[in-house]
Amino acid sequence: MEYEKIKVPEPIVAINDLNLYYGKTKALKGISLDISKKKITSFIGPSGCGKSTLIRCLNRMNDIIDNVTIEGSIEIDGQDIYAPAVDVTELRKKVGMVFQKPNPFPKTIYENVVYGPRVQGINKKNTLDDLCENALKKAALWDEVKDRLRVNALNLSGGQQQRICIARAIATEPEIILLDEPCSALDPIATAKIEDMLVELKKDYTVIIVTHNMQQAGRISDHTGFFMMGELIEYNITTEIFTNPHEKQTEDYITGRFG
Amino acid sequence: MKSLKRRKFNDRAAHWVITLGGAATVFVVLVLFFFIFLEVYPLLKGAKVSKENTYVLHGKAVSTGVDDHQEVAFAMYNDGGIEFVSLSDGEILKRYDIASLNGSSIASVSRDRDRLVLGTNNGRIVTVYINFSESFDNNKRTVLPEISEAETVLVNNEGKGINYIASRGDESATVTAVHTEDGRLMLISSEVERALFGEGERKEIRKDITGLIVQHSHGQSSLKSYEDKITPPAFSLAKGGNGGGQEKHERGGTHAVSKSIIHASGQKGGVGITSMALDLFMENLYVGTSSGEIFHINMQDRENPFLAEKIRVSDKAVTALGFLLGDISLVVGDQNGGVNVWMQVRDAVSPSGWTLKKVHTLTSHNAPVIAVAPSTRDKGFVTAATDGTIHLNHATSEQTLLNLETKSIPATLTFSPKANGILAADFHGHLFQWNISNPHPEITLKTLFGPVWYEGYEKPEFIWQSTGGTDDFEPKLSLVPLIFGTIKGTIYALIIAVPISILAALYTSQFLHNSFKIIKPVIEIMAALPSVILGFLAGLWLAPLLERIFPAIMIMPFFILLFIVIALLIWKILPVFGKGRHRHGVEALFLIPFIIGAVFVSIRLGGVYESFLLDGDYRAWFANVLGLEYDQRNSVLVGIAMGFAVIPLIFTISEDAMSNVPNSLRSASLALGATPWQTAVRIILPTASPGIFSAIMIGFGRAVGETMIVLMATGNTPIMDWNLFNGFRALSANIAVEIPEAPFGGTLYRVLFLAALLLFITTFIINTFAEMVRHRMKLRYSKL
Amino acid sequence: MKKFIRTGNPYIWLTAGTLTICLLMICGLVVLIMVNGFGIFWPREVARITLYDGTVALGEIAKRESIPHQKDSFRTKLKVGNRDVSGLDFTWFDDTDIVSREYPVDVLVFERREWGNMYGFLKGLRQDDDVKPLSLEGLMPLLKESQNLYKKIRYIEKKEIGDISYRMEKSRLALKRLMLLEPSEKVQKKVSAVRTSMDNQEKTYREKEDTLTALYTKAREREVVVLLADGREKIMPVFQIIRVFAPNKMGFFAKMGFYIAKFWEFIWGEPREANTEGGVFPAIFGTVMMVLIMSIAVVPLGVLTAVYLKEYASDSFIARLVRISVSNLAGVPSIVFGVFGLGFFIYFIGGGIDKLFFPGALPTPTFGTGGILWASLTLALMTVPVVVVATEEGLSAVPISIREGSYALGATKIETLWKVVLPQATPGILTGTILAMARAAGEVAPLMITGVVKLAPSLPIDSHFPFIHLERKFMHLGFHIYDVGFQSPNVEAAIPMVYSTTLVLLFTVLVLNLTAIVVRNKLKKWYNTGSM
Repeated sequence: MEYEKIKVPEPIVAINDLNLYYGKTKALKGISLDISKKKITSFIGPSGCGKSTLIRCLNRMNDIIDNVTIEGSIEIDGQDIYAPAVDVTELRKKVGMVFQKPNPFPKTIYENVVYGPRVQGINKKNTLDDLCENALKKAALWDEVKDRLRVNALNLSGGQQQRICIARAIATEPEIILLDEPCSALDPIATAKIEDMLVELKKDYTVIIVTHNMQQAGRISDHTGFFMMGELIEYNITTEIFTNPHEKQTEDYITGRFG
Repeated sequence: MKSLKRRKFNDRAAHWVITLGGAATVFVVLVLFFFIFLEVYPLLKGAKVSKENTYVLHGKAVSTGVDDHQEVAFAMYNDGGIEFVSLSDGEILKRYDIASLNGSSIASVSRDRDRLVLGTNNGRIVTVYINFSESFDNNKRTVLPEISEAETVLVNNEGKGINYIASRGDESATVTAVHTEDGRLMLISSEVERALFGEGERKEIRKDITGLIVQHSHGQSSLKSYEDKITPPAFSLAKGGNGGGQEKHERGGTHAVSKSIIHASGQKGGVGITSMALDLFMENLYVGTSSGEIFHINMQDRENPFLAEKIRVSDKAVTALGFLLGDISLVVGDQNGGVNVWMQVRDAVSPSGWTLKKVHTLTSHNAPVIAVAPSTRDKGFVTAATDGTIHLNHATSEQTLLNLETKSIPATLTFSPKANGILAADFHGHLFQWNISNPHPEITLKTLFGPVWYEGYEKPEFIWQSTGGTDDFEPKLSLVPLIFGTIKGTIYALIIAVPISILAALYTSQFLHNSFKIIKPVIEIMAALPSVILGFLAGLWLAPLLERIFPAIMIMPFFILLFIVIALLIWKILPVFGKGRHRHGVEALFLIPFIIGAVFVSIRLGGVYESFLLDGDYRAWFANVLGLEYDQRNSVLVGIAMGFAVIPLIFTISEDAMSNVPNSLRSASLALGATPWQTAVRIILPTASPGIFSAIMIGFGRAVGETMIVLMATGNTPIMDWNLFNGFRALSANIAVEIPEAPFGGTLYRVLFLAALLLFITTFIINTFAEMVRHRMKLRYSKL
Repeated sequence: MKKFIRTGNPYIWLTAGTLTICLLMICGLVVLIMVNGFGIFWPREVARITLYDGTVALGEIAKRESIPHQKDSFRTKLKVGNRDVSGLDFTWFDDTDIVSREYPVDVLVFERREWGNMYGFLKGLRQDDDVKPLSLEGLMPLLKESQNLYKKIRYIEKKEIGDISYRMEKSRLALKRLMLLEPSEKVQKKVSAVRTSMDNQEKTYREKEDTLTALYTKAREREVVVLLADGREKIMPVFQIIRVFAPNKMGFFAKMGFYIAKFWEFIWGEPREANTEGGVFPAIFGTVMMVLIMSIAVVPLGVLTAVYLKEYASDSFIARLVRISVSNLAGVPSIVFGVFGLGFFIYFIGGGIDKLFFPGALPTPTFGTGGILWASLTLALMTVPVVVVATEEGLSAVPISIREGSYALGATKIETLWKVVLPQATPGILTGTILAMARAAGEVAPLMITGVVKLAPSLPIDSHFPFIHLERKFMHLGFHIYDVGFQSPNVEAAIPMVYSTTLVLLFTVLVLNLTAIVVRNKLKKWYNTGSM
């Protein structure tokens, strides 16, 4: 697919002509886009369009899956993350991720949040306590759980669990946070809370969110990319996409004619 | 077309049949448990009286006896009359009068199996043999009593009566100790000197040994008249006595009892002899006194008996003495009613190297003990006291199995030859008879699980020794060494199996490349290997090999580690490996040549290692430096072989648990910047830990019950010792070895069933627990 | 470097190492058994070893190893055979003592019915006090003749005399039974009839015995003279020889032929010499029969339980109980089952059967002692869980939609189960049965106390009514290994035999397991494609 790469301010992530294959199936077709620093970028599109696959490429989570081959390049801060010298672990530290379904570890809230710092070798209790408090505050959860940090995270509600997962990602102090449909398993109230939180997070982090909820994308994101069948159809400032889509497919999708 | 009704009925019926079929499994487990328990249960039961009878006698009985089948009993009266009573109807079958008594009456009796030695009230010793022979006519048994009289010996000319008498004899010799009315203690022994041709000549030795006791007694000697201690030996010829000295000893009789009580109280300060016992070796005479002491007179040299030991056994008079089967343990009954068992125990302090020690204490009577009758089957015995109570005891297990009561004072007591009946006669012409069933007197929880002081041992110990060479052998059935062996084998097996299997499972579930997942069924097949094959290879191939290359085995783990590091470096350095992103997951295969290399190198260097660090001979080094003996079939061997059997089990279950950990957790951890190893250790292992735990439990259960490997790879010696280099005997192997030889319904048979029950219960608890843990884990996974 | 260690990669290598060790252990074990088990039938060359002190020995080189604690010194283990002459099968020689080692071409190995192998040179046939020279080819017809004679003798001993003793035993029992009845004229008549037939049997028995004696005398007539390594001569009846061959002369194909013949004998032959030589056919037969009886008993119980758990039980207390029972049956040590079998089947049920149906034979027990039936039932209890688990797996694989389809057509539950679900679950049941058979084939401990013997006088199936004798004791491959390897008086000579038996057992168990895995995978595939 040939198209002009949209220019965005302060690009931190640069994806150039990315192709991805599951075995023989081509799942991503020639994606090229830049992502701005400290902005919320959302990827929308019908299910199976490859938006989740794309953000999983950003922290190389696809490595876990066999038979995945990748062509093209992804640069973060100007460094190709698929270069042989790159340490995947370092990369993932820098690029945190929150998954579709809340997946807290079967541990206490505290242990969940400080998991990242711990695996990096931070074991000082004071530091961990601070990190935990900060992360929970940023995830807007501190007030709800500060008295029960030693409670198993599985006992929390779904929305709380998802915010624990976000706090957990924040605690590793990443530059970029990837969110893979973080609210799809949650009720509207929990969703609203998370959306508020994401807007807060924008101050410190670059947030990339995959969602099929267009309202959500419209509400919170600065930039939006629309995907279909493994292709990037349109990528622009959110308001532009929602009010003045350039492509017919985008318009159809946004106006709910399919999807 | 079947009618709907019919079809419905079929459906209902099938429902019930299938439900019953399902319940059948529960039923099988229950039957398994209850049947084994049922076989064990009789061990826990005490003795029972199956029949109780009282018969009328015609005089004062001084001795009683009964035949093997408890059909005919005899009672001997103090006037020398012997009556045979049919125990089925109480009829007098036969009466016999002892001719040699010549009008005197019997004052004391010593019973030595079928040989009854009677001391008369005018100082003579009369020997009578009473036998029961059986004749079969038309498959019906008739018991015929036979009586014969033998020698008569005159003890003294003064005509003083004989208070106590103890006698033993066999084909060639007899020894009799008598205590006369006037307080003298005499030893009369006769021996046939073996001549080359023809009849041997009988030699008689008489010794007055009163002095041995008077000299050493506590109080001042008031028995001045016996200072001429030794009467010159008198020789006389007498007929040879027979009746090989066996265990039956009995002392009793109306007079004896009453007198002993009088003696005990009446003789102040002097030595009142109140009881005597002579062992079947005719070497040791024990004399109990009114002051509660026992004099042990050694008469190995019959010409020169000497006092070997004097020991205080009670604060009151010793009123009854008797030997247990085997004539090593001495039962001491005292005036307080106390019943204790003493025996000769090695003792460094005492000059002879031996001393008499109290080893068992039985339930006390509430009145003076007057008679002791031992069993001819085991270490059981019967005691009677003046208050009419009769106790059935077992010495080793220290239990009093029965407490019988008679209204009057038992004067004489007999334990039937098959130890299934007790016979007692009182002063008033009553003969009491009890048929008892006492199948497992030697078993109590304490003898099974606690230390037991057996004859010939210096202290209480845990011993398993179920069979022995001699008739009077006492089976030693402590399960502790076997339980110990089971635990020892299990622990060594788990030490080897748990790390290997869990690490291998971790690797297989987390790091192994998907295309090699076939490795899992390969290891599962390992679980199907018959244990007999493992046992055979361990016992006949590995055992000698291990012995030869043991030093190499010791350094092998080190070399394996070293070679893994080398492999890792090569992997890093070589450009071919590990560069692509999908190159991981083949480490295990890459390592194969390295580990084989490590094994070879360690075998090559084993000898060098042995000569430099183990002084050239590791077995000598173990013995000298560590103080350990090296057996060829040892626990290391069992550990390896049984580890081999347990590894696939633990591997399979824990691998399942680990691969069932939801992938989302793994992704989450990786996304947080954890390395795969950190993910495995911090997320996978803790989450799968219940599964791993239940895998270890199930492995434990398997190792506990494993039979063939233990049987074939150890020496099966029931010793308790943590030494790595010697064997052990496990409960399971013990059952396999001994149950074919154990008679149905016998004590050993039941104890082996108990061992099986223990195994069953242990594995039941472990399995149920593991199953519950796994069930909970399943629920938890469904929540994640 | 420190960082590298912190990533945990070295630990991954460590875990990989443990897996490698597991794999090497299992492969090593299989290879070890294969090499040793297959190797023993290969004819090995016979060496003549001469020592400095003049001793000459002849035999197969069994092993060469370094002497512990002595550098660069080796010793050789020679299988010298001739147990009747030298007493021991094996001798060790230090290599330093050996002057020469050669392989004489015309050395012969005699496999004998007794005393194991003999190594030596054929001198000739004994005729009175003379020796007539005889070549190996000349010996062959004699051997053939004696083998025919042996077959004849065996037939008379086993079949004819066996039949007679069987009938005599029957008559004796019949007589004993009649004696227990109230005496009457009818009974008297019967007694006398039995007595006459017993007399007749006795007579035929005597006749057969006479024939046997004559045959045995004939058998001893021909004797060969063998020259041993040390120059002594040994006279041996041709009848004693089973097989004679010249290993140093044989080419590859001759050896191959010999190998196959030996292997054939091993599988189909009867054991000789306290099981240390000959074949293992009775053990194979016993194992197979025991496993078959067991599977007849275990499959219904296992399948019923599995069907109950999967189709009928809701998550009730009873279902949990059944589940716990099944998992416990799987975990209870096999020896406990053996003990239970001994107490329950043999003494309780078997003793009861004896009292009811065979009072005449008492006190000799018929069913009240170990036998193939009791052993099979004991193992059946043990293997129930295997069948349950596999059947459950098979039932789970049947899609619910199929069941719903059947219900929708108005079928009752049992009809659905019987006609739709169970047929589809057959591969699962089959897998379970095969796995149970594999488990039972390898189990020894419970058999040791419920009916296995080292040498059974007759197979559990023969020509006497009722043909299948479930009360008989039997031989078993696993027990054979234990017995020959650990209870045999001459373990060293027996070890090769044990390896071959082990190989047979291993092969059986592995093949059964692989079959089960294949069946299970087929099942999975079948449903995977079916559900797509």
